[in-house]
Amino acid sequence: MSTADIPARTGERPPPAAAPWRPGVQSIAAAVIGVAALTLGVIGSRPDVAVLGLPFVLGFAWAWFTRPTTTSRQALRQATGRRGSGTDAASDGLIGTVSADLVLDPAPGAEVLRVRVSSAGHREGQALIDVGGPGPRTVRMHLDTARTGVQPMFRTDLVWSSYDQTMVAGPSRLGPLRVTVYPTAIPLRRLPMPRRLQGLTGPHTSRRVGDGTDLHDVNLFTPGDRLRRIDWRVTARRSLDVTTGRLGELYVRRTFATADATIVLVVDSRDNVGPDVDTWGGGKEARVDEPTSLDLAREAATSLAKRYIDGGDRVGLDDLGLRRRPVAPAGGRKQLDRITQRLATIAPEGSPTARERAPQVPSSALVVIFSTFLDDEAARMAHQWHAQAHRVIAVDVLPQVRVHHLDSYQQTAYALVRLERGIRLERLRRTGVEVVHWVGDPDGHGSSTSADIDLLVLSRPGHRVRTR
Amino acid sequence: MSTPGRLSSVREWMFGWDVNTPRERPLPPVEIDVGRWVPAWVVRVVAGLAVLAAGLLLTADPTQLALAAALGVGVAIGPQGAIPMIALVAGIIAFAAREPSPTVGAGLLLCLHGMHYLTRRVSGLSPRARVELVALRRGLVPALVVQGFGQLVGVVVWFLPGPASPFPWLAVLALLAITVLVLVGVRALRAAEAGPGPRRLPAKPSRGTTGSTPAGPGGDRTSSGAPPQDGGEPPAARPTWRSVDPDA
Repeated sequence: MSTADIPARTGERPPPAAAPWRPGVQSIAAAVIGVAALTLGVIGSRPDVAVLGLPFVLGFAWAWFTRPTTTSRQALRQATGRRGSGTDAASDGLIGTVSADLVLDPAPGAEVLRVRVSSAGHREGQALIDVGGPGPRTVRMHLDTARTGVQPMFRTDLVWSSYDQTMVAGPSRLGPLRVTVYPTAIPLRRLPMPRRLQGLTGPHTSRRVGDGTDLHDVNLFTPGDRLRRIDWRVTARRSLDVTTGRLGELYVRRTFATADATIVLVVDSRDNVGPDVDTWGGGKEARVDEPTSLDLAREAATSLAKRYIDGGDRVGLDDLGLRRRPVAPAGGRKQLDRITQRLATIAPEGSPTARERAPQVPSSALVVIFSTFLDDEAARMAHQWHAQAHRVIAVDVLPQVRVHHLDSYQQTAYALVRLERGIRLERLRRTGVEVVHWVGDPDGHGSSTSADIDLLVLSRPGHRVRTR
Repeated sequence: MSTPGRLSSVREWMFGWDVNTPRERPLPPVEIDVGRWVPAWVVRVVAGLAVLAAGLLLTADPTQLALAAALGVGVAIGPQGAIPMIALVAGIIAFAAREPSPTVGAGLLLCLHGMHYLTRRVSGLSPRARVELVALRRGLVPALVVQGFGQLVGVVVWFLPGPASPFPWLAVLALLAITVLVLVGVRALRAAEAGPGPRRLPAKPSRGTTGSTPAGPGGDRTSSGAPPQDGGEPPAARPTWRSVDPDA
């Protein structure tokens, strides 16, 4: 296969060439030493010493005569296959594998390739790869990560070599690839509903009379009733005049109308903290094999969005961090894709200013806010929505906290932060905002049950009050 | 007897960390899927052992053996540096300084060439790098041919008349000349077989620097040099390992 046979994706240019070939210094040095040994043997009348230099001189000659004359080509692509993923626990997020393919088209004479691949938060991988065979070669690289969103991965450095590194080309750099890792949806059972349902159609039964399936009552026929609603049996039983054999009043079957629920998911993307408290200050990065609060928020929001949309309800999405147009509530598979795509791109950006008012949401909508509640902003928004008669559910997405390696000053600071957070969550509960902890009990202010159980409890019919 | 608090502070002062604190887990690695492989440190150790073996062949003096061992360790630690060349020069000089011996010469030829072969393959790689066995074997045939030729010339040199006779030198030169002719002939044959195909054409200069990736914003999604598919934010890339299954 030639360079042109490397399968190209739509819109891509042909893969670029590597750096030009140049002589390897150490191979030249070995050849010089070989020549020196030959010379030493001649001068000292020691042919056995001269023989020692032969392999290095002849090896260099062979390498020079077989050196590559054209440049090699390489390309880096994101792989579309997926490996089996491992899990820690459903509530702690999933660790999965992301793969990329390195496509190599070596020039004749190139024998081996040194590859170094690095990604933020991972140990770099290095390998010596054989490229002396016929045709291009594809090398698969992969890493495990628990992170979601758009991330740069697989920065690759390459050095091509001929025999004995007599000629080298590089280092060339490829990537990094901008990989979008989408959050997964955890199966949930029943979910809580808003206090009031809206609309004239939907998956839920409302209290109004309308065009549904559940029987409301049997009533007299009034102008506007559909003729196919006439209940002939009741009519015959109640209004048949046996003397004349004629029917009097007509009776119709009336049903309850259906309605749908509107749910607005609000993600607090202003911070993104990991399990290690000493990474919260920003001086140290959180590990990539452990989900952060934003990963948990994405996972929780995706799970709820999928469950609600599968149930026929309308779901919207907003962000407390970056101020941009929210995803308007809608239903259907495309809406779920839209929400998932927006969740994957949500990330902390700069220092957002405090909001005067909570973002506007449709009336009677259920508001679910995903935050760590490490400051007052998210809790203040929740209080405002609750004051506007919305049902508000606060989902705590703080991961399981680790504090055993903190020094005394850090321990004191964390104790204060934890205390304030506990007070904040308690105030939310007391004002009527329902609090759910996505990972159970991250810092001692959580619950011993899973989020699925908590949401199931909140979905009890007693919590669904009345419709219009 | 020190109290536990005093002991841990002494340890912390000596070692720089509290030994009771569990160490952090290593970062997850980026893995490269290759064929059957060995870690690079194994190849380095073998190269170092080759230097040590050369030292054992050359001398029995403990001091010189220690020097050879040090050179072997140096080759194992830094195969890409100057130490392999220093070991090569030291071996040749040490052999020239002693009495001629056919077995020592043959063994030294094998050890030094083997060390050079292995260090050329693992130079520039970390000790944990994966060295594909096929990559190690690539180039082994020419190396064996060269080694065999050297051993053959060594045998010719030893079994011919003494150093005062010019015949050994003529034999060596003749063999060298024949070798050069064969190599040139092989090269010409390869060029004739390959022909002026597309691969033989000089590569056109690519955009930007010499083939390496211009690390621009938003332009590195797939391969180096691939045009941005949109002008602004990254496109909706195909779902990766966590994709929303539209049919779920």
